[in-house]
Parts: sequence; C-alpha cells; structure tokens
Amino acid sequence: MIARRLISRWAVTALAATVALALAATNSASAPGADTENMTILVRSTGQGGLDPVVQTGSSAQKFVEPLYEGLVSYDSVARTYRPELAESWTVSQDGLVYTFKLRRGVEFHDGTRFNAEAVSVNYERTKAVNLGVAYLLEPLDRVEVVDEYTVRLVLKAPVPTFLFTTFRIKIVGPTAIRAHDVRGDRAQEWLKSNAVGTGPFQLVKWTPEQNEIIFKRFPNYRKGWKGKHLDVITYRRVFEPTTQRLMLERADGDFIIDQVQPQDVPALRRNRNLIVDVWSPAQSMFITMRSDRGPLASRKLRQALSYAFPYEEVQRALGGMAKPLIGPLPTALAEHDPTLAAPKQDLQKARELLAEAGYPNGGLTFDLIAIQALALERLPAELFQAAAAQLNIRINIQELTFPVMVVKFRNENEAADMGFLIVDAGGPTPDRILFEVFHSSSRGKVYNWSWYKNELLDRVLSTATQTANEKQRFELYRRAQRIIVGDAPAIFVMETPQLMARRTWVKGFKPDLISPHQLNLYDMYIEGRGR
Amino acid sequence: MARVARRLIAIVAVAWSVSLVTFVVARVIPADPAQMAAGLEAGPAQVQQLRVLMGLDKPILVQYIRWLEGLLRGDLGTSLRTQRPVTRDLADALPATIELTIAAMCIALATGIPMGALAAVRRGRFADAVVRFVAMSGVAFPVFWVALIAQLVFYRVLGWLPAGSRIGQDVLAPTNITGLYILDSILTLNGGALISALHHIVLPASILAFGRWATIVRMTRVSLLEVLNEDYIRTARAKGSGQKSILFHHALRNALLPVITMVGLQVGYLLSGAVLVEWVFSWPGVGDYAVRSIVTLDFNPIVAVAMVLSLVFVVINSLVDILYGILDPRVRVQPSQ
Repeated sequence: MIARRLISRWAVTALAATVALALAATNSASAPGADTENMTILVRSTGQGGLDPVVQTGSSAQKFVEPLYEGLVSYDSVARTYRPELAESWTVSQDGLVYTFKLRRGVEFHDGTRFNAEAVSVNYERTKAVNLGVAYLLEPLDRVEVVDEYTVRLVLKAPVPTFLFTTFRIKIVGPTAIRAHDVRGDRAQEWLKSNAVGTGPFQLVKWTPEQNEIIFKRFPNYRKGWKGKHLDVITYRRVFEPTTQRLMLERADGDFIIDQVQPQDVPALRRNRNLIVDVWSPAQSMFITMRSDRGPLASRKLRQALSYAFPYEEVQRALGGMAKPLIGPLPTALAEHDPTLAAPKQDLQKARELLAEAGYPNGGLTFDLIAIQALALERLPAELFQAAAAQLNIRINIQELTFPVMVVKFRNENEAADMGFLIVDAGGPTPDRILFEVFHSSSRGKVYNWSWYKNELLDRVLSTATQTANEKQRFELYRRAQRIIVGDAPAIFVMETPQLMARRTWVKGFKPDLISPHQLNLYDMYIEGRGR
Repeated sequence: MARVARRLIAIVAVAWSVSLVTFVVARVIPADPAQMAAGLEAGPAQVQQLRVLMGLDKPILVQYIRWLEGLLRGDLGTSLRTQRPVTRDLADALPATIELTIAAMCIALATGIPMGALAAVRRGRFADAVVRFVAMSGVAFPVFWVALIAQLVFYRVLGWLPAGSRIGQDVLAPTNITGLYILDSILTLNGGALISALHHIVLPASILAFGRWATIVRMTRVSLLEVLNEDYIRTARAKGSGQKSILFHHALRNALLPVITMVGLQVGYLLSGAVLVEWVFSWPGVGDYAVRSIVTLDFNPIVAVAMVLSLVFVVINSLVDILYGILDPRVRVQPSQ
C-alpha cells in the first residue's frame, strides 16, 4: 500500500516537474519586435553555398543576393523595360556590338569605397575567370574597355539582342574587397560565400544559414537615400515545413512567406483578415513533355490526342482558379507570347478520333509519367490526367522523383521516360530559355528538352530569331515558332505555374515580379499598422 | 578487457561497413552532382571542369580510396550545398541533435519509469489502463503527425511554446563551449539564454520522447511485475522489510536492468526519429542536415551522417553493455569461469 502511494507520488512529481518546466519556459516567450520597421521573411531554404553573385544563380539563392548587389541596369517586368541602376544611361552601336554605359557618380560600396568604371571591368573579368553560375552569359562578350572613370564599353563578338539582361544579371562587387580577399587566385570566392560588399540598399549583418538565420540591415549611404517609409532590418528565418510556416505567419512570428504556399492552404489563408495571399502568374510554363523521338509517342496524332485528353478546365477548378491556362509554350508575361493562339481545351471525342487515326482506336497504351516528389502543383494535374486518360483506355503510371534525378533521367536518351512534368521559368525577359532549351533539337540530352523533340524548321526559325536585332521581325519569328510547337504537340501545355505568397496585411509596398518571382522589391517595402 | 577490445573492433567494422555501403549507394544514384553544383544553366564545359575538380570523373573505387584517405586525415570532404567542409557542418549540427536527444531521453525516462511503475503497482486498475493507452498512442501515431498537431495546439492555439529553432530571435546564443545551448547557458551563467533554450526544446524533445515512451513504460511495468512476484521479494516481506525498502532496494533495482539495456537501443531510435522532428521544428541538427543533403543529393554529407549516426548508435550500445555488466555481475562471468 505504502509502495503504491510512493510510486504514485513519484509519478505525479515527475509529471508536475515536466509541466512546470514547460510553463516556466512559457513565461519567457519572446515579445514581438517593437520596432515596426523590421520584417521577418520565412523561407524554406537559406540558399546553397553562400552569397557570391557570380556563383549563386538559382532562385533560392538569388533572393539573398539581390538586396545586396546591383547591376548596371535593372529590368521592370511589368513595364517590360530596362531601367538605369549603376549606369545612368547607355547607348548601343548600330551593329549591336558595342554597349557604352555612362556610370552613376557618387555611388558607394558597403565598405566605403567608390564605384567607377574600373569596378565594372574587374567584375566582368572576375565573372569570366570564375567560370561558374552566370559566367555563361558572358560568352558573347569580347572585351571590356574602360573609357574614363565613369564610362565603360562592352564589346561583343556578335550581336545579342537581349544582352542588356546580362548587364542586369552581372552584379558589381567592391573591387577593393575582391583584391583584399583573393586567396591563391580564387578572386575572393571563398570570402564572398559569407561576406558581401555591394552597392545594394541592404548590407549583410549575419550570415548563418545553417543556424536558420540571415539578417540584413539598411545601408545608410545607399545612393537613393532613405526618405519616406522603408525597412530597417530584414531577417530571413528558415522554416522547412510549409505547415509550420503557415502557423508562424498566422501567429505573426513571420511577416512574409515567399516560397510557394501550399495551394490547399490558400482558401484558409484568404479567410484570415490579417493576411494577404498574393497570387500571380510569373513567366513560368508547366508542361508534360512527351517522348517524340521513339515509341508510340513518336506519332504526332497520338501526342495531339493526349493533349486533347488533358482536363485543363478541371485542373483550373481544382486549383481554385489560381493558375492561368498556358496558351502555347510561352506564358503571357513574356511580350513574345502569341495572343492569336487558342486556349487548349479538353475534347475527349476529338481525342478518340485522333487516337484512331494514330492507329490506336481502342487505346490499350501504357505510359510512365514522372513528377517531382511531393509537389502538390504537379500531383494534382497528374492524377486528374490519369483519370481522363483512363476514359480512352490509356493507362498512366505516375512516379515521383527528386528534381536532380529527373534531370539526369530525362537527359539520357535510353532512360528518359515517356512523359515528365517540367516547370521552366523564363529566367529573363526573353523566350529563349523556354523555346530554345525545351524545344530546340540542340538541347536534346541537355537540361530541358525532355521530349527529345526535333523539328528542323523550328530549329532554323529559333536560330534566326535569336540573331535578329529588329524587334518586330524577331517577335514574328518567335510567334511562328510557337505555332510550329503547338502543331507538333511535343508537350501538353498544363498551365502557367502560379506563384503563391502570403504576408501580413501590415507589409506594404510589395510588387510581384513577373520574371524573378522570388525577388522582392525590398527597398520599396515598409511596415505599416503592426500591432493595431 | 577482452570484452572491451572486441567491442572496439566491432565499432570500427560497423563504421567501415556503413561508410562503404552508403558511399556506393550514394554514388550509384542516377544524378549528376556536378551539374547541380554548377547550376542548371551551366554549359557542358563548366560542368566537366567541376566534375574533374570534384574527382567525380574517376572510377568509384578510386573515389572511395580517396575518401578513406581523407577520413584518416579527419577530412570528410566538402558539402556541395554549403560549400564548407563536412566536418565543420557536422561540428555545428551535432551538438543540436545531441542536446535534443538527451533532453528527449531525460523526459522519456523521468516520466516513463514512474508511469510504468505506477501501472505495475496498480495493475488492472484505471491508472494502469490510462498509462497503457497513452503509451500505445506514442507508438501508434506517426511522429511527423504528432509533431504537427502539437505545434498546432501548443504554438498556434495556446501560444505556450515556440514553433521551432533552438533559441529565441531576440536572444543571443550562449558563448560556445560545448555547443549544447542549455549546458553552455549554465556554464556561462546566462539566465536569458537558458530560459529561451529550455523554452524552445520542450516541445520537440517531448514529441521525440513520446514515440519512445511506450517502450520504457511497458518494459518497466512488465519487469517490475515480474520482480514483485519473485521469491526473494516474498522473503523480504516475510522478514518484515518495509514497502519502501522492498520497492527501491530490491524490486526496482532489478526491474530496471532490462530497461537500461533498452535505453541504448532507444537512443538509436531517438536519433532516427530526430530527423523528422528536426525537420518540423527547423531544429538545425544532424537530422535536418541529412534531409537537406539527401534532397540535394549532396554525397559527402550523406555518407558522413550515416557513418556518424551509426557510430553513435554502436558506441552507446557498447557502453550500455559495459554498464549492464557493472550492474549485474552475472553478465561479467565468462562461461569458462
């Protein structure tokens, strides 16, 4: 009896101690920041391998590089025009080979040194020497000439109509810092992984990605000044689990989720009057590629039949109207998109007719469809497509793989699956990545031509387009290319991949970017009304 | 002594086997780490340059021998993702996992043993049923799901505990001595950091403990019931020993022997469970590091984490074996003796 009492007491004491510990700790709950000019951004990844603007090209890393560095120009994706940044003006020679930039005076790097033409020269030379990341953009560049302290000339080997975008992507690092931290000719690569000396509006305070935190503060000597409302400090917190991100936003422990919010969470987030869900269609196309070089899918009629079988409207409805239909291979955010193309629609009768013409009147086909692991935006259309194809007696086996494995699989002619989900962003205000890298025959066996598609006419049209300086003629060539691709149906045009972000209502001044959706216009953003 | 030597040989053998298997498996995955490291936009020349630099152009056997040479120098290679030496990454991540695992084990033992004893003493009664029901829940529910529900309740609804991280955003981490925030806070007499670290560890450690709690409770209960029915307990009672003395000096000490053996295994399970808990709670430990490395097919960290975790598992089990021998002299007696 006594033993029982003793045990009971012990058990109760242990439980009480645990609860007391939890409650004691509860009292230390951190108070929300009183400074209303701080913004906490929740991210799923804190980037890979550092902050060097040459090496870091992926969207997950670029969002940390952009606030710290600037290029000669910037691109306004809504107005579809280039704006001066470190260059205040520029001219292009008649033959399209020489770009002359007049540089802005009085611009300071974060280390207090001055920006000038030599800084541009050092950075372009460094990019070529490092030969990683954005270096491929400088392949057309022949040389950089420093004309005077505030004039620089970039001379190309051959005209590239979209070269201005390169001058946006190449960011300028303080040359003094590059020289000071060069170790055995690495051009400060090692140092720039965890340090930053740019001219951007924010400077680095803390870079501890493995400890989940990256902190920027405003650069007091930023060339545009700090009049009006702006942010003081930006904290990026890594929270990998999307559900946890959502809870933190709802509890105001975060102000902004800039990774893709889960589509199924959007209705609930929208019902919360303290939150805003930003949904827009950046220049990203989602395809289901179809092996057009061999097997049954080499038949154009069969590919067209599958395109007609795809349940476009059902997918739109399932996503609550958040995704725009993809009309042709190019998203509407790109100026070269052909508005005369008709939106794809499901037509099972037409699909049956085409199936019969292809020699499969009773279906009886089986295809593998590969999607990215655990990506709801692909899993949902995959399952709806599977159900629709079953009505034609076509079996779709859905498999999920990680993206790196998919890339290698589809790049290998013998291993590439029948079909694969492919999301491609334009990467710039040109259609080249989507049209050239997904559909040009020279891209077979490389990163994105998963259809192993080849059409010599299309190849010629695209090659001519990339070298045509006249904008009107170039646009016409790109539209012709789109019509050829739609006719050949090497891929199903699933949707314009929507970008879904969520923020507290007190985060103001945010403007979605159509080309680089992860890139925030942090300089223009501010906090207003927090804590009311 | 021979026992310890045999154990040491076993530890080295296990570590080598795990490294070999993980190395080969990681290398035969159909992926191109050089392309991922160079970026998808990188051209074939850039990718090839990086492939040579990373030694991926060499046969797998050569790669493994080079890796072993590095290991002997204490070099586990460089992470493609973080671009830092893996040993440095692990040195940052390991203390977080060790702290979480110790906290979880403390919670599991501090609550599991008394609850198991309570269930044994009140066998067949209401308290026994409740304890067994809760214990079974810990095994039945997936740790990932329990973690999300706990976050919803204790963070979102009640607001008692934070959703993740090791320490509050507004609190500076304690001076790094051991890397264990709680211990470092105590050693540096940093009260603010101590409270914040405790506050942040309670939920993930409890979730991690919950999954293992059932085993400890059930084992304690069964073992104690068995011991309480032993002849020597009856003899002790007959000799007039008090209940307190019987329970603590005779019954519990013997009943805890199998529980202690099991604790070693539980640490292994806790380490594997930590992967999911660290993911949900953004706990920057080895599990979190492993998941991120796997997702990006970052070979060197994958091999290193597998090896380190298996080493920890084997070492702890060996220690438990030795401890068991100390507690139960019969184990020390060799058959020939």
